[in-house]
Amino acid sequence: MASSSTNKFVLKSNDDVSFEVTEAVAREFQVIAHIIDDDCAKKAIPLSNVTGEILSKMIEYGKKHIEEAPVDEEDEEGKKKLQIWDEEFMKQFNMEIVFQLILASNYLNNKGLLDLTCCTVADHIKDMTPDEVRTLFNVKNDYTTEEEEEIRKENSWAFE
Amino acid sequence: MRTRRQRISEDRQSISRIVNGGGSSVLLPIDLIIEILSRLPAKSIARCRCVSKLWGSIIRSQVFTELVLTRSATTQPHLLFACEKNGEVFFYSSPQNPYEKSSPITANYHMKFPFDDDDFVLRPVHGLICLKQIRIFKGRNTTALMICNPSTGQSLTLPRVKTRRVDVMSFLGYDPVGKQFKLLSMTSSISGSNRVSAEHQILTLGNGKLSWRKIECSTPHYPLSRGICINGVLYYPAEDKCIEGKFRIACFDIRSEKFKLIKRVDEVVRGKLVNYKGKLATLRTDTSPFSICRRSRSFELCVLEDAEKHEWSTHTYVLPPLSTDLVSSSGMFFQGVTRRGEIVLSPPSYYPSDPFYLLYYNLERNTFVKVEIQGIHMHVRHKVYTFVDHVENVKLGGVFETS
Repeated sequence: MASSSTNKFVLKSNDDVSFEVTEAVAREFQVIAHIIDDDCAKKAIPLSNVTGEILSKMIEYGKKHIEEAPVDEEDEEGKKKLQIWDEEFMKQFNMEIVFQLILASNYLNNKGLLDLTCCTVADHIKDMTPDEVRTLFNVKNDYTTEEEEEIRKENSWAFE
Repeated sequence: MRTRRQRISEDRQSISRIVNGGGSSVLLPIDLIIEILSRLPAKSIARCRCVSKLWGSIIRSQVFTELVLTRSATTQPHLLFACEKNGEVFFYSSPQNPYEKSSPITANYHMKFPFDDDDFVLRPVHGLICLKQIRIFKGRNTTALMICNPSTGQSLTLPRVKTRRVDVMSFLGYDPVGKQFKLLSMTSSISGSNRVSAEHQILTLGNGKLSWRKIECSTPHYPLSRGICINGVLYYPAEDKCIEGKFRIACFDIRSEKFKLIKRVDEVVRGKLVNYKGKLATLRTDTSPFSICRRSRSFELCVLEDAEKHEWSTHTYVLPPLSTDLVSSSGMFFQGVTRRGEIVLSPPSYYPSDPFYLLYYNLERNTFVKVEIQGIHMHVRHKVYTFVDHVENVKLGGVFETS
């Protein structure tokens, strides 16, 4: 049997972009790992919820985390290096892309990328006003003026 | 091998996108919104309650508050700073791990509470903190205990312990199994060397009524100083009243409400009580039971391995030479131990350094890391208390709801 570094799989996005990746990279995504384990990965693996644009970024992330994986739990330097790369990696995206990455990493089940993308959004919105948050998330304010006033009063310390 | 389509797709990415009005066209399902919100600091979570009714109810839900607590405890433990000035106590918090963030660390201001008693801020337990407050009652100044949550701004003044005695010691504890906060108060009858704790009273938080009830204690002892709550057990140094002049570590099980005294071979209980990787431990140096000074050569870590067998393990560490840059003339005081086993030291609360900094001592490497903390606004004569391993408890209502 071929080792996971030589064994190749093809991942196919919903807009028909194909990517050839090593088994190790493919296995970074839990859902794909299950497909491989169930021996259903003979041909290309179609991923109906991910665009090629997003998939290419996820593969880039997966590759990096395979290549530069910290040696062990104690490898503080390795962890730090990867963390810096993660931060730089996220800087290139606007929130629209980050939201798509959240959906895709949740769908393909990559805990590391889900955590990273959620942290990026959390960091982006942490100083926003409720109005700015509503705009970003496309949420309609369904509180009456009185109700909102009441909640603001209860949480007045958070607006200081 | 890259396909042609892949190249096209990569080219497409280089074209910057224009997002309509800053909003996203991608709608995230509720479970992913929860993932994002649970990674926010407490203050931002509080603001997000105003976003919509759905967001407000997510934030109030138990699933959400439990998630934030677990996340806060396992991946993002915080340092909590209580800064006392002009009759108020100001709370700040910051991330705890200096290696993950570059120094200096910025502490975020949370909120303030009225406070007027010297030296009485108990260490936080499961996100809540207990402090003493002066109140005017029937024209006279009296003290009252207050429970507050620096992550939500909720506070609650507790009824006075029913006693005629003046010497009252109170401790806050949390039972992780029953998920209950309890206060233990002990009063003592005689001052001087014959003092013994009597009238042990318990107040359970969160069951609607706030009242003290008496419990039995068949272990005559006298609490000597503040304690620490680890995994449902409250530990505090005490004098054993069965054998005069013997010192013990008293432990009180929050759930069963039973007392027990733990012996130490060396009889030494003076030392900072800390949570060392989930176990009770004491820290002290060759020069002082609570701090490191420039003359200190070594320190000792005693870990309670088995409370039933009164078994302790002692580890002695020889310190590297201490420069004036690391340890000021007033010394650096033990505050606690991080999950990774680093010992955190701070300047004395009554004499905080400016700029304010902490020392992290790594036991394995025998090295000190100096971490500057920015953002705490203080002046001369203000006190700063530092607490390690604080968790953000964003639960609303709960123990603060009274009938």
